[in-house]
Amino acid sequence: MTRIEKLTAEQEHQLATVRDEWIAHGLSTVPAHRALAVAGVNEAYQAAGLEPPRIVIWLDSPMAGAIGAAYLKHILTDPAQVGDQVRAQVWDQVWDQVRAQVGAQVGDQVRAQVWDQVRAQVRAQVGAQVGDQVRAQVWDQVRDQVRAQVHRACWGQHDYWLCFYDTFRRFGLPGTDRVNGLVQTAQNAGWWWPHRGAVILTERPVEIHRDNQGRLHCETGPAMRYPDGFAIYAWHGTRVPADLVSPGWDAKRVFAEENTEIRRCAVEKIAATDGWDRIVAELGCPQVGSTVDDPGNPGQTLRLYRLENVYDEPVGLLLMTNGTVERDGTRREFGETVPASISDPVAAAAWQIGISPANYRLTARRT
Amino acid sequence: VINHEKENIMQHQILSELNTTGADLAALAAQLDVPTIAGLQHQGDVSVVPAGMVDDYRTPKRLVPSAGVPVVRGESGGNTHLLLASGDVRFDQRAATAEDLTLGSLIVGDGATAWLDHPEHGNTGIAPGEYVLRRKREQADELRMVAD
Repeated sequence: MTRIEKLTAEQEHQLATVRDEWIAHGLSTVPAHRALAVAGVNEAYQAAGLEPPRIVIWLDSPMAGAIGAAYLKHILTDPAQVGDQVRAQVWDQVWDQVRAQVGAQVGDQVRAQVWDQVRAQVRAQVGAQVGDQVRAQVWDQVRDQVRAQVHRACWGQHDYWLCFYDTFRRFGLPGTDRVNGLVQTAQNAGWWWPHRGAVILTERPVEIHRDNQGRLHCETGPAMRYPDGFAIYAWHGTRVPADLVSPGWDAKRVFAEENTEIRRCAVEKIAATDGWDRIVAELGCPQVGSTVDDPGNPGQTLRLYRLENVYDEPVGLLLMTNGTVERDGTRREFGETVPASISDPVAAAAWQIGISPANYRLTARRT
Repeated sequence: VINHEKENIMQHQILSELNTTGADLAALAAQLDVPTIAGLQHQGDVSVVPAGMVDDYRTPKRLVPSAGVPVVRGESGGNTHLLLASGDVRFDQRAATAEDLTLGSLIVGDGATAWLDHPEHGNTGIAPGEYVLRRKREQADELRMVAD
């Protein structure tokens, strides 16, 4: 058998096509093509040596699917016919076999090329920015048996890793057509749960909003929403509580949030144009000490304010700016709380890491 | 990776992402112009503090493995501060609390380099020397750690 050691010009050209198609499937908001999806499932079962499922259940979101899969496992009373989950056969076995085929027939360089130019990019856009967030959102909202189903899902349109094998399948590599069913399902439906004799399939989202870096982001509503209302609210890729986005938090609610990543999202939402100054102004915070240069962070300053009526006792609010410039050219501003007894911004920053202000002034770099 | 994405990587690629092929970290850091610093430096909520500025440095024993050590894991989406090493770099990790900010003691041997990488704050190099890594705290109604 001759190994593929170099792609033809036509095959190289195909890489971008495969990549773009998988990204488009991953972000698709059109209703599932149910007939094609079920045909894909049947083919996937057959490739795994299983009878096609006789019961096909459609649900409206990955959340509903996880709950449905947990019910299916417990409620259906004929375990010989329906019930045990067959993800291992339908997915893992086929996967292992196809991976072995690709390994045997494709040289390292070509594999690396397809990995970089197709898989890595689909993973970044579909896997990391969307699939992982959907999984985390379902995980956060369910418990116990339903949670176990989060792990047992096939991700359908978000099964980005299939694109790697799909590439070789399109090149006609022998043995790779075993992924046909999985690919067809992924191209026509959302998440799905295979059981012996039954399958739960779910719809794709009805809307998805991303920022210019491809991260889930919407300033006015859900960044992702499914037909049954299951939704993800996100601010530049960080999942946030729904009420942070709509109606939005007031300054007091912002400071009650313990996670600074979420707090920062809330502040960015409140002060998209004015930064922290609006928060400081909204609360009428007096400045403490003077505005000073931020040691190790050229061109940036430290400012300290007194924050009253947010916590039980007054605290200091230290405003600082990231040394690292974001991809969009701006710098992130941060506000963090310190003891109200501190009267100097550098002393406040030094207190945060437990060193003396004199030592803090020696900072070489802050990113 | 270096060749076909070179134009993108200067500002925002982090070493741990580029290192998946087992490439030489020191060479990657040089290509990315990552500064190597001996003094006090801060990467978001993690600070690298020269041992002379504190009194809780304890000579560490444990070599930093090639996969690195997650010094602080992000809470809402993978923003981990990862400690990477080339050469003899040792780090003994402690569980920082709001009362004890030290994440661990770090020694970077002669001729060695350590790096901290983070998806938002990028890469920073740590020159040979003795340090403690510390995490920032806040004072709200009670002391708490900064969750970056």
